[in-house]
Amino acid sequence: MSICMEKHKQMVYETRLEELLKDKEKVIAIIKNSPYLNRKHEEAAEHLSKIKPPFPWDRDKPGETI
Amino acid sequence: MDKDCYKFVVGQDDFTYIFISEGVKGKIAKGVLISPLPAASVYPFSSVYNLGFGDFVNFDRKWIIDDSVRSGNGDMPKVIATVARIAMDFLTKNPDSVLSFEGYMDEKSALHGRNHRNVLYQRAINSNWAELSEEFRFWGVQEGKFEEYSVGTHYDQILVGRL
Repeated sequence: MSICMEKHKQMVYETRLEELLKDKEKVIAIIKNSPYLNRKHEEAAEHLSKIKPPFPWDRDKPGETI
Repeated sequence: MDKDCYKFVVGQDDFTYIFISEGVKGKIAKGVLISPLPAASVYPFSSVYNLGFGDFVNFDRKWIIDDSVRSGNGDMPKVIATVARIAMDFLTKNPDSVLSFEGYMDEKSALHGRNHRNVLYQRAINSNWAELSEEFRFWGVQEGKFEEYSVGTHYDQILVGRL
């Protein structure tokens, strides 16, 4: 019974997904405005901000001394 | 690196990507967002971007992005390899940028003291190291410090830029 329900849910998902994929702007807006992805982004920024410079990629820039 | 990847589509802005995972549960759409890290008072992260990704989930006909860890589609290595390929695509178009990857700590990861998604990212990097290291430069963050990426070392955070 639950396998049937899961399969039905997946079929509904895939049908809706097909509809969604027709609208590329909507797809991009969902990704860009995702609270989950933006939260992950803030976490990464916070994590990196705790690490003190110099950063290795700065050291490699020509004409800069650290 | 292209051997076992999904095809992906890039948005017109070059910062959003989408691909479809096909596994034991069927098709699941994955969204990837690459965002510049904000200029912080401590340091202007002008050229550092973060890569995040998740599943398209449909709730009451409304689409949101949620954590891929719960999808259980049985194809995470292929998903990770695709995300790594997307990162390479972004860096090829933006050669002066540095891209940061950060995984997550689920219960199992915390128990083993390891970031599961990073383990998979590193597996994808390590198994393609000969090819990748010719074009890209990798750094790892371990205990709050950067170091040159070394195959076989586990990192909390991985950063990559073009050579």
